[in-house]
Amino acid sequence: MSRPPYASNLSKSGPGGVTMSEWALSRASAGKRTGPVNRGVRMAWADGQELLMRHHRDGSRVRRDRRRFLSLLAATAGCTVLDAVGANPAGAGLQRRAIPASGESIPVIGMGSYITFNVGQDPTLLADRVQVLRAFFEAGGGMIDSSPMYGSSEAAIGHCLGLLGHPATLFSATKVWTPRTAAGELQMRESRELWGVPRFDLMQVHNLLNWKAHLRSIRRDRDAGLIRYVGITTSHGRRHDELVELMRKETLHFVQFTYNIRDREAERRLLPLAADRGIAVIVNRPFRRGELIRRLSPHPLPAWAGEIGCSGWPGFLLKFIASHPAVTCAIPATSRVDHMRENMSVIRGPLPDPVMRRRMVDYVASL
Amino acid sequence: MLTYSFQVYRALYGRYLTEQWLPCLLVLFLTLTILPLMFRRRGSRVAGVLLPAAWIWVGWMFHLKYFAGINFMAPFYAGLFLLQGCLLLWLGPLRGGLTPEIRDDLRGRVGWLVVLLAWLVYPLADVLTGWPPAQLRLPGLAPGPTALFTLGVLLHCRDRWASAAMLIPAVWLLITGFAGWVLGSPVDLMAPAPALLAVIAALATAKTTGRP
Repeated sequence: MSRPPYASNLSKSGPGGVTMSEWALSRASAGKRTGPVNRGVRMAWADGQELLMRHHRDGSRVRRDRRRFLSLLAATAGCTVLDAVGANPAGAGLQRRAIPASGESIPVIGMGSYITFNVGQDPTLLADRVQVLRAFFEAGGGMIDSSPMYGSSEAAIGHCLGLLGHPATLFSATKVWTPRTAAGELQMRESRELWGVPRFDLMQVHNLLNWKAHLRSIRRDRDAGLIRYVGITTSHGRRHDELVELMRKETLHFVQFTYNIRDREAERRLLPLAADRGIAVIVNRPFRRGELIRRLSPHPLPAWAGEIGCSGWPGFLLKFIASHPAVTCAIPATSRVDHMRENMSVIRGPLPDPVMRRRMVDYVASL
Repeated sequence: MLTYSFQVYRALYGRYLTEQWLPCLLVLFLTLTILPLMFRRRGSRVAGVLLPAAWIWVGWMFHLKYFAGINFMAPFYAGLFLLQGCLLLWLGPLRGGLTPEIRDDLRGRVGWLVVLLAWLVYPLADVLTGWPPAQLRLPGLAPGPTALFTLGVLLHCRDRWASAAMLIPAVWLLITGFAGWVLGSPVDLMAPAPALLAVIAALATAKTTGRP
């Protein structure tokens, strides 16, 4: 059995010679809403990595070690729920992740708006999206991600937020997307107006387009209190080399890229680097725009998926992403209330451990 | 790829027809008028004005005023349509060419087939695939049928520049086919096929097209 890439990456030394396990602990203890509870989860993760490595050295010990790891994870999972309840009643039991730059925590599942919220001014479709967003917030949702590239999505989100009274749990994230510098500054202002927000929690440079100039503008807006966090995005597994360079050289709070059970290139460099540099990670295309669900739906879920509380493929796929310790938030997009509820509900309860993640990958690869 | 769904595109087209029903009816009537004008002896220069009017209308109103709301590429598409409108105006009424006449050869028969596809098959297929009958995509109103109808009319023109004027409609139908593939719309997916047929017919008869 080959060693999962993330296991080898996570065992690499972080800045200052600390191991990834130590890094995980230090990050957890630095979190605003993280205390002994999340530290316990981090410890379980660190322990899990060690157990997994031991498993590769000594196959006979794996069953006992895995049981030990699962019991440790289970012991901490209950505490995580209590922690989340205290932090956010609407999001009771939601898995939350700390943003390394500040320690502020957000639910590990957010919402993307590519295609799904680009509904123009159609009143029926807009009313539908209000219900989708209502379900998102009722389930404890936080991050909504959009872009000026997505047609009328920002206007639709602003419309919905206005009708829902701008829920306090909103974590607003959008992008700047234009080759022209001056147009970017106008675009960011227009986005604030479309969303109806005085400032964005996160502003990202979309697909690295004119990133030098836009990062300058974003930082200027941040200094002016119009933006809280700075980020940069890519998707479809493109331009990873350039993104790695930027993550090394620039001070970024967030990066966004594609990661799912079939597109795991990010495990090799991007996720470990984000962890090392203390950059929060947003994962786009968790279902490959629905393609993964369509391809997997004819196949049965494995019986052992019940061990991590999965009753459907969307949950299976989201839990795989959310269980990577370097992932801060995955942003599936949907235009349906039932799918939104499913997306948000599946992240309650346990997440897969490293051994289970390997099984998930192998099972999907075998289909 | 595309930033909108087929459902949203259909709703947008419906809103465009509802809000612009009067000018839409007028453009539809004028575009339809091109058909009987083609039967007039030596053609009609009036048809040479009506066809570019349809392109300018779709480019300005549909692409720029409506489609641009959901698709960042729409202003570029509007530019293509306005350019085609100007090209048809220049090659037609201003230059004195592109007068459609009935042709009774292979090129003419392919022309009629493409015209038939634009006015009957395209909208009928739409209805069969779930479009509301009140929101039919017809020449003069929707980009795809307008491009198809234009190809059919141009195949009936005895002007050596007629083939050149087929470039943008053919390109548009290729774009339509790509959109149909991405959005899962079989009607749009098939659009490049008649465009290809029209281009082949135009090329095959190129030597016999120009006036002596």
